[in-house]
Amino acid sequence: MNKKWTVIVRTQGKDLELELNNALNSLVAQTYENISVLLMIHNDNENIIKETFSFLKPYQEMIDIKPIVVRDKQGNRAYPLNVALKNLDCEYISFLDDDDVYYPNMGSTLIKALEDNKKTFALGRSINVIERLETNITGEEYLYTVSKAKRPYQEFSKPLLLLENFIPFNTFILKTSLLDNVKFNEEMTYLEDWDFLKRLILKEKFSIIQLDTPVSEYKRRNDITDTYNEENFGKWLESRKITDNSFKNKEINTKIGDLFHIKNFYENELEKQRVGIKIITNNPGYRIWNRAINNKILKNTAVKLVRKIRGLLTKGQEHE
Amino acid sequence: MKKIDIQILLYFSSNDLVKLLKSIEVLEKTKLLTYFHFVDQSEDTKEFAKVKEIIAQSKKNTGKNIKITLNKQPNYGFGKGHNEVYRKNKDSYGDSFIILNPDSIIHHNLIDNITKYLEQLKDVNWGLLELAQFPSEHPKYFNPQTLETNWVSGAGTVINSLAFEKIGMFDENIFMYGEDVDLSMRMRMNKYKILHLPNAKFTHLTKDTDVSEENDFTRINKQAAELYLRYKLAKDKDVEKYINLIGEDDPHKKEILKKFQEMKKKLKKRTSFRRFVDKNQDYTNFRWTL
Repeated sequence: MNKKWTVIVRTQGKDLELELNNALNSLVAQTYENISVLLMIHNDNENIIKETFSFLKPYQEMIDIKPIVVRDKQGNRAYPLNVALKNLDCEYISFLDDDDVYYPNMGSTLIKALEDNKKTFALGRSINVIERLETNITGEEYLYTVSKAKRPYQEFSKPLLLLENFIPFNTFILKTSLLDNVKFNEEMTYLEDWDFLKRLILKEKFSIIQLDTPVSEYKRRNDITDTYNEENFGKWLESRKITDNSFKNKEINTKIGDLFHIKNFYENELEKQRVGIKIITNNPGYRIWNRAINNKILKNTAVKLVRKIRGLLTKGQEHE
Repeated sequence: MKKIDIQILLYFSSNDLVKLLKSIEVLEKTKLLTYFHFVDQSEDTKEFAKVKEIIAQSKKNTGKNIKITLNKQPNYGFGKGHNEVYRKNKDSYGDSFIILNPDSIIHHNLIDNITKYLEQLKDVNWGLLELAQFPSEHPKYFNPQTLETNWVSGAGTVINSLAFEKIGMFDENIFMYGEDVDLSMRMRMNKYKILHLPNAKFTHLTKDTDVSEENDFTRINKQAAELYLRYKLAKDKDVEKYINLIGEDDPHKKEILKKFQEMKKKLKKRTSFRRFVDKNQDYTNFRWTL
C-alpha cells in the first residue's frame, strides 16, 4: 500500500463548473494510489456552501474528498491553508488552487522521486496556460485556452528563492514531517505561497529533488480574477514588502553557483521584456491604439494602454 | 433522443479499464439510456478473460440506465474496427453514436453535456462533434465562437450516423493514426460541419505532452498515415515535401515508406481537397506546441 498523499485544495465555491470541476477531475485522474483531498471551502455564504457540498457528490464516489468549511477571515487567502495544516494525517502533502490542474503523473512522479532519493521536497515543472472567458454559438460560457507553454526551467537555488518567487504553488510535493510548525503568513493578501516556501527552505530537514517533468498547469485569465491585474497590483506589492521584510535578516549560505542562477534569472527576465516590447511595436494594433488616443470614445481605454506600452518602452530603452 | 451508444475498442487495455468503468458507475444517475459496446481486438484468450472479469465486476455496480456489452473481433486496427462494430449494431443505434478510447475517464456530467449540445445543435448540419480532452487539451485550433475546427481527434467523438454512412465510414486502408483526419476531411468535402464541444470533457490518460516519448510503432504509423493522407487528398508535391521532412538519416524511413506504399496501392481514388494543405498552414493548425 502506498503512503498517503493529501492534496489541499482551496476554493471559495465560485465558478464550480468552470474551475473546481477541472481541479477535481485532475485529482480523480491521478495514477498514484492512496490519494485524499482536503477541500477548504472558504466562504460564509450558506447557499454557496450547500451548493459546493452538492457539487462534490459525484467526485466523492471516485476519490476520497473531505470538505472543511472555513467561515472566518473571509478574503484572507492564507487562513484556510493554515486550518488545513492542522487536519493532516498523511505522509505527503501538496497544494492546488481550484483554478489549476495537476497532470495524472503528478503524484506518482514526484512521490517516487522523493522516496528514491530520500528527500523531503520534490519539485516538478509546470505548463503556463492563458485562458479567456468565451461564449459560443450554443450560448454557453466556457474557458478558451489561448496558449500553453512550458515555464522556463529554473534550477532551484535557495538564495534566488529568497529574492524571487519562481516556484508555482502546484508544482511540488513535500513530506509532512518537513512542516515542523511552518505556517502561512496570514498578514499577506498575496504571495503567501512564496512566503511559505521561504520558511520551508530555511528548515534543517529541507532537501530537494528537482525534475524537468511537467506535472501541472498553472492557469491565468486576462480578467479581474488574475492576481497580477492592475487593480490587484497595489496589494501584491504590499504583500511583497511584508515577505521581504520578514526575511531580510535571515542568513543563508550562498555559493558561487547560486550567484550564477541569480544572474541568469534576471538576464532572462530582461530578455523576456525585450521580446515583449518587440512584439508590441511590430503589432499593427499598437499603431491603431496610438491613433485611438485622439478618439473621444476610446480615449480612456487607449490612454491607459498606451501609457503602459510607453512605460515598457522607456524601461526597455533604459536597459539597452 | 432516447438512447446513446458508445463504441470502445480494446487492445490489451485491461489496465486502463478500472478507472473507465468506475467512472461509468458514477453515471448511475443519468436519465438517458447509455449503451457501452466494448470490443476486444487483442486476439488473446487470457486478456479477453481478464477484461470479461473486470467488466462483470463493474456491471454489479452500474445503474439501470447503463448497459454494457463485451465482444471480441480480430485486430482490424482503429478505423476498420469501429466500422465493424458499427455495422453489427447500427440497427439499434439512434441518429448518432460515440467512439471513445479505453484510456479514458468519463466525467460524471459528460453524457448530460453531450445531450444538451445535441439539442442546441439540432438545426446545424454537423458530421462530427469532438469531445474535449482533459487535462492535456488537444492543441488544435477551433473557432472560439462557432466551434468549427479543421478535424477531430478519434479519441472521443460523436458521429452523425447518416453522414458517416454517406461518406463511406472510416478508410479501412489505414490501420491506425490519421483515420480521424481523413474522416474529418471527407465530412467537410461533403459540407458537414465539424465542431469541438468545449464543455463535453473526458479525461484522456495520454502521454502526449511529450512527443519525444512516442514509441517506434506510433511514429512509423503516424508518419506513414501523413504521407497517405497527402497522397489521397493533396498533390504529389505535398507528398514529396513531407518525405523530405523525414530526412535521409531517419532509421525508420524505409519502414515508413513501405507502409505508405502498401496503403497507396489499396487506394482506389484520389480526391483533391484544397483546404487540406494550403499555402501557409497544413490541416493540423496547432495553437501551441509543448
